[in-house]
Amino acid sequence: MLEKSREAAAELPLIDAARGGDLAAFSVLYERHKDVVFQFVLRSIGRREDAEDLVQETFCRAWTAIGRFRGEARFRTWVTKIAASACADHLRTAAQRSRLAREVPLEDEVMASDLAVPDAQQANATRQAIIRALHALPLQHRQLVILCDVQGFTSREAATILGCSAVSVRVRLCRAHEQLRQLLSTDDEVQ
Amino acid sequence: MKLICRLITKYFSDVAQTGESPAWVSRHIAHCARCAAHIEAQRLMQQHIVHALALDDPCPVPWDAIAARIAAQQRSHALTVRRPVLAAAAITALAAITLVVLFGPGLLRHKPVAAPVVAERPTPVVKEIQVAPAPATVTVSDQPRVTVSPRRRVPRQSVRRTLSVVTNNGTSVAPEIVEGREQVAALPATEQSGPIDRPTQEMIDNAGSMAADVLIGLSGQMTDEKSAEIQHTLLHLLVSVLPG
Ligand SMILES: [Zn+2]
Repeated sequence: MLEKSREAAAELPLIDAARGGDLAAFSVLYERHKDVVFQFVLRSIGRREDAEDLVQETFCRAWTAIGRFRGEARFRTWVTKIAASACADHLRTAAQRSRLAREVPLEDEVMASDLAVPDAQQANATRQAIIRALHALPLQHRQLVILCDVQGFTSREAATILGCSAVSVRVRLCRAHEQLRQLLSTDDEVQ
Repeated sequence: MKLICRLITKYFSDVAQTGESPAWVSRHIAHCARCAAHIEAQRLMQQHIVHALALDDPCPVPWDAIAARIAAQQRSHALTVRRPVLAAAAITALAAITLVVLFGPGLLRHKPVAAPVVAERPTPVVKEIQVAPAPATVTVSDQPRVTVSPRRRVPRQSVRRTLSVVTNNGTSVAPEIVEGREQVAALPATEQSGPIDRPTQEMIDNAGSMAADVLIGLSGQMTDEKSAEIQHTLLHLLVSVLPG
């Protein structure tokens, strides 16, 4: 918690400079937060190519809107909220929605290091099973798992990002965990 | 399962691990094996998820790509600011040309002119007016009545070039008689070759095609060159249609 507020305080001068049109300051913010945004977007939509495009879209929108950033949340929370909105816009296209909701982007998820040794292949199978289960969840449930379980956002921050209440975040997250548990146990039985 | 266990497993299992949960939740978990087991299972699953979803490789998008996109966005923003000005100019020009095409000839017809030049000259008397290349014979009686036949739609500019007046003794009348619109307009109103002053089909077609161009421009597809070309054409047409 203390670390988060320290991070927010350290970023204030950069944000002020970016508000004044300083693109170099904004580039520092980009370098600091691009990985979090990329991970969130990639795990939300599943396609690496689209994710790279959405990262660009997110930071372009952030640059345009930075004058309206009031510093009530951390910059990371604010920019992830923009990314969530960009993901929703992206998935709103009917064709993409019907295609991506069912398709698991396995080819994006395999890391070269996972395939190096035989044991890693087993680990990779588990990993694929979890990713498959994650993509079977509704978008907001999936995003909550990414935000809260993986990226360490608090339920209040996740609520800000997804535009709902903290209580709703907690309920949905528990539901998402329950669904994941069921999906993974089904997957175990199949295997 | 007790109600409190159900509550905790349903609503507090995630925050129970992080220490964000209320004191009564922590107290219960410390004494309830079922809830503790649930929380532990939850923690293990979360570990797997974190491991599965962690990215080994960083974001591959370079800052240059973002900077280029921001620059492109700013350029297109500047264009959208300028576009309404171009659109307003195009609408004004279109309105002007439409007014000229529709009402310009009517205004010319009502232009006050002196008595017919033909009538003022007793000799030589105008016998006929010929329009080339397909000469339309304009027969003019001795005094001031002039009959124009047959009536045909002739572009004004061709009239200006080819109109000639032949007198009854075979000689051509003075140059001011054949010099165009004023002389033709000077004929009695009932007998004038009215269609000459109305917009020709070609002019109407031109106006229509320009209207289409302007509409294309308004729909955001008009390039700057196209816009300039349309304005240039409109200006030319205005100059050629306006009297004098
Ligand atoms: Zn219990």
